[in-house]
Amino acid sequence: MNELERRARQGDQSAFEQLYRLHARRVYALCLRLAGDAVEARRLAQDAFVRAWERLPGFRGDSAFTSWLHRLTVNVVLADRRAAGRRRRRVMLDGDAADAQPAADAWSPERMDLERAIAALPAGARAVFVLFDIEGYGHAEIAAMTGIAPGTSKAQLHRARRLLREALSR
Amino acid sequence: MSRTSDRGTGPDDLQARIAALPREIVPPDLWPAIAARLDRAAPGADARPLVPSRAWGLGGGLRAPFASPWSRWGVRPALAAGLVLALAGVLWLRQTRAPWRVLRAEGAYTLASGRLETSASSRVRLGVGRLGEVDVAPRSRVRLLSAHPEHRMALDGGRIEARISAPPRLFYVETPAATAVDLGCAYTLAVDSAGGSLIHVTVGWVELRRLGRASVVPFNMSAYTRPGFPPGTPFADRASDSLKSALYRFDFGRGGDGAAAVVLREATATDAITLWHLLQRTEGATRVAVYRRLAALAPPPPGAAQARLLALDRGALETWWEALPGSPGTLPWWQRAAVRVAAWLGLM
Repeated sequence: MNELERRARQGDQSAFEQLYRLHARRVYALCLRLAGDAVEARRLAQDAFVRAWERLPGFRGDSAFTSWLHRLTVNVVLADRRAAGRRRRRVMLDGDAADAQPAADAWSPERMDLERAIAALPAGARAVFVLFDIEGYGHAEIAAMTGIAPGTSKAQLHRARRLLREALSR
Repeated sequence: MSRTSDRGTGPDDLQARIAALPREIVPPDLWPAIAARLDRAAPGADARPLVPSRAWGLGGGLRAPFASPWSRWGVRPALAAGLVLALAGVLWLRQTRAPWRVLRAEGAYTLASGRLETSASSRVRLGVGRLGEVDVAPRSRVRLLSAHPEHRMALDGGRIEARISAPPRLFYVETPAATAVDLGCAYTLAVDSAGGSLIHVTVGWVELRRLGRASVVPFNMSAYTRPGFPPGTPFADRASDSLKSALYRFDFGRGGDGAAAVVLREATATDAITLWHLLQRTEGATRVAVYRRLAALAPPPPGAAQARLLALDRGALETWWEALPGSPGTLPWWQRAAVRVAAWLGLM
């Protein structure tokens, strides 16, 4: 645990703000891809950091802060999704893309096509695809986080890739 | 995270395009909204600021005097009164959901997307739902952040004068250096170009919070804040200039124990609340010295033993707080009610 994390853990809000500045882009990218919606992603990223603040006293430094925050963010998004079948799901709109700027000069029409195709995936397939293909989790971990069977995770991944290929070939 | 053989099985360029996706995407600045929520979400109980936990101030302070008669009057009247209070509470909650409104304006000002800016010659009076009013002075920048579940605004620069008549913790003002939490009061709050602020409370109490520390600023007292520092120690209007200067050095400079010694030397009974805060911000021999000075000015009540106070026991500190000169615990209920009514009518 580094000094910044230690200070934040002790309730130092300015230290936590620095942690936010360090990790916001990664957390937001994860939320954006999992939610498929920029407005939801902003809300979920906020929720994730507030949850991290609340849970910081329990962070012992056994794992890297990045991994801890990442896992916490995934849990926040998945819990929100479970709780919000009743909430309206939106597909990323043109206006939403305006505030979704990649950190580096990674913008390209191909990338945006792929991002839109990911956002348009069914929620279950999108979650598995993002966690497996982009974030590097294994099927067993995804199964544990999402509450589905590992076999279902594999099937969802296969489905997501197929849908993406179809979308990108149009 | 583990990787399995499923990865990289795409026969087309899908995997290559996925691999090229950036892992980071720049979001809009979410920090102001997050910071506003952090002040309500403490990072574990241990890190909560050591401030009086009871609902003090004019709003909360009225509870205790009204509480005891119920037990004498019997159960039925108490139940009936409870129903009436519950109904009043529901009505009150509906009132608190009312939005921000511009009640009055002089001169040209801009208000767009919740951002209000006054010119050198303009001023605006905002209605805080039905909780009260905020006057925004010339050359001020304000953001209206939320109207539910509580009214929350940010003062980025300039000055406001707030008059709130509501239960505690329904009106918040964010500044670059601290959050001002209304406890039922009237106050002025000015933010300078460096993000520092000075709050002066004229009625009731305000709590300043940031960096895991809180300062409770009662009426006829003020407090400074500076970005990167916890809220400053409150000081009385009548405190000597030497005390104020030393306190500023203690809070924001490198005054240390030397500055604390000046504060102790200059302190009078008027400064008891200052010393009560200082007790929690010092250590070792300096804390003992603060204790002795405060005990000489306002002896701790029987329930607050020296050892517990020096150990910063919350219960002992609260007991002492209620006995301090100027604390709401020392005012008769009718006096607090009178001040509250006067504030409601705008007479103070």
